[in-house]
Amino acid sequence: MPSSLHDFCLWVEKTNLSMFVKTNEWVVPTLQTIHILCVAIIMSSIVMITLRIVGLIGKDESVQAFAARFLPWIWYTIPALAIGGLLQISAEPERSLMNKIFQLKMVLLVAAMGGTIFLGRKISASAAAAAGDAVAPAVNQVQVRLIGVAVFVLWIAIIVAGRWIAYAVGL
Amino acid sequence: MEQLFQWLQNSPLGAAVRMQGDLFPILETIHVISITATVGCIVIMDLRLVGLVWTKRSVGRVIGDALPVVWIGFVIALISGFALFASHAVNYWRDSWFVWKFVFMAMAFVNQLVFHIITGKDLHSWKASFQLPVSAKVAGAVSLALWIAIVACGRMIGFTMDV
Ligand code: HEM
Ligand code: HEM
Repeated sequence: MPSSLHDFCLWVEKTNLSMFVKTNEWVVPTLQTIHILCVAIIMSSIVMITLRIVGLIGKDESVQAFAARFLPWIWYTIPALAIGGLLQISAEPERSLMNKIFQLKMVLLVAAMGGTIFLGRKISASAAAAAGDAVAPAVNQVQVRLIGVAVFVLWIAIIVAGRWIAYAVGL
Repeated sequence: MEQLFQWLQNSPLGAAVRMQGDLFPILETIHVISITATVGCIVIMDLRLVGLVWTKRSVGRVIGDALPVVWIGFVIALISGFALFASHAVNYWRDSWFVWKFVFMAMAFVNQLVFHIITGKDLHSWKASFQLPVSAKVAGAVSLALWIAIVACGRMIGFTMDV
């Protein structure tokens, strides 16, 4: 099974894109700096939403208003992370693609994205219910809190995995 | 200075971070989590100050939401960063990116201080619709640029430092 992935890596290494990223010294550090800055945007957005959900900040405003302010930023940044990440991978495909921690990170990312969509829906539903919309399903605050904290933990796990890729090369 | 850093490097803390199994990567991960929370929340305040986004919420409230995280994250970054630094103190000190990181950080603090003491001294009376003074927008933009530079310097250390 890994042999086809291995062949794919060998092919990627020979592309012009890979050559460009590898031979220009400034490219990888620049990509990594952008990656960390994008992670900062996601991290702070999810921190703000989670703190509002558990009621530690911004109580003069609704949870929904916080979600509306910060959730979109998570979606704006993911494409930048994906493109930058793939460019880094093009330089050394085996380092990431054959790396167990990288694979785990991608699974966690799918889970965190799904969780974030789910959280957004629950927040809207609970706001609609609070506004007295009869057709809105009943969503209690405890549910939103639990989902919020779980999604927060997933995003942290992605950051841990991202940082750990470098320490799991060739394992 | 070098002597002091040599001593720090040889101290039990420096030796432990340098040699004890996964301690370095664990601290590095804590550093990354805390700096992303801190820098991200600074970016939130700066973007609001420049007046680009979230203009329906007043500057004072946005700062009130984000500032506690900035400080908590910063303290964790400071502790984890110091422990990482202790592992190879002499070499970090010789790395110019490491030094620039602190020069930029000092500049960011001065910028923030000036903003809070002069431009933003009546910050909490600014309504959401308040027309932000140019000096506030400049403070936000300068802060944004400095923190991007700080992250870049921090990330460069690993590429240039000789251990
Ligand atoms: C499809 C999307 C993504 C791809 C392809 C990707 C790819 C990568 C790659 C190749 C690295 C370099 C690892 C190494 O060689 O050491 C990396 C690092 C990292 N990634 Fe991602 N990534 C993605 C999304 C994310 C997201 C959403 C987060 C967090 C919310 C994240 C957090 C990190 C972190 C914290 C690092 C370590 C940065 C450092 O300390 O230099 N990544 N990623
Ligand atoms: C909020 C302020 C800070 C920011 C934004 C920041 C930023 C960074 C960044 C982006 C990295 C690279 C992390 C990685 O990808 O692995 C880093 C690493 C590091 N930082 Fe910080 N840092 C801050 C505070 C500090 C402080 C106060 C110290 C020391 C007292 C420190 C010492 C270090 C050390 C020693 C490294 C490891 C460099 C390496 O070997 O790669 N940092 N920092």
